Amino acid sequence: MIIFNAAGHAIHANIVLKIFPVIGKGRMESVKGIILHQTGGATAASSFNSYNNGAAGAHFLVDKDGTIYQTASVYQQTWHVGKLRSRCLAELSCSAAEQRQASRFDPTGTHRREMTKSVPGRYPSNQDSIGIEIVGQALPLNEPNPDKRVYEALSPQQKESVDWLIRHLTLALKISRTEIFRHPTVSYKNNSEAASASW
Amino acid sequence: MVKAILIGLVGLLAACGAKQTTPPPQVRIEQNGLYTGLISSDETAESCAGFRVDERIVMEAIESAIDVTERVYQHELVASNCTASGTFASPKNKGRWTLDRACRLIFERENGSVEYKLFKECVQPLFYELDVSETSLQSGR
Repeated sequence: MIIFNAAGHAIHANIVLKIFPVIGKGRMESVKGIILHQTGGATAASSFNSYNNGAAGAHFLVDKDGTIYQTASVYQQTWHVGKLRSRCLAELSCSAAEQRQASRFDPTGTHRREMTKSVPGRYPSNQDSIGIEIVGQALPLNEPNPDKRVYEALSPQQKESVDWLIRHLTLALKISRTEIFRHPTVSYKNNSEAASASW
Repeated sequence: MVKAILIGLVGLLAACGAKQTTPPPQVRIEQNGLYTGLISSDETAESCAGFRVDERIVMEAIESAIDVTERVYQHELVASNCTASGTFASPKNKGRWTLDRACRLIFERENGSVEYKLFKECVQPLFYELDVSETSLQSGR
């Protein structure tokens, strides 16, 4: 089992600590879910470079060879989700009025409404979720429109590491396995991101 | 002799002046209200049919959109399944454009270079309401 110290850093031989304090965006009071991402870059280094800029980032990063890096404290929020989609629309549980509102393409308004709810009434957000980035490009690179690219499949080592990490995070942080999602499920993203991840 | 030189200079200046007249930029819309199905939004082909831009909007988008990195465009901005695309030509800019309902713009120049942009002045109801966090994944805090 992973143990987290007071700073929210993992103490486990399988996890390499490479913390970027600058991507921590304030204390995370509770962890309700896990969101899986793919980086869009070919290497872990390209993500680390962008983390140094201090804007978006996630808590863990899984490299091509399966190495797991922890990049932010699990007690800190990071910006990895963006605007939430309507969960009730996806799960066919909206009231008639909300169904009408949520069916409009209004990511800002939908996000505002979703954030008045709590998990599992909405998807986990930056406020209450752990982000796992998996190194992987969307291909082909010579396609100028990134929406038309397809994210590459996870390597066998990445699949094994993601499975291991999710198993241990759900235990250590008491996260329900029903609250684990791929990024496109919870926000407005390329459908193929993290499509080959399983848990 | 001096008179001849002066006449020549005046003629040259007039010719230069004539050359400074620039043709107006030209926008061509080839596809409008297209549904891509590539993005995880709840949009439908029917709802995308209502996303119809005109030349004025495209011109404004190309001239005023701010540059973002490819990573931000691909990874951080909200994306939409509703798009329009076409060509644009001005003395400074020539190429293909693609604009989506989430106010993202791609400009592919004739020389093969690609620019990724965010059209911050996009307005509802055609587009969606941007907020201050649009170039990061900040929303949700």
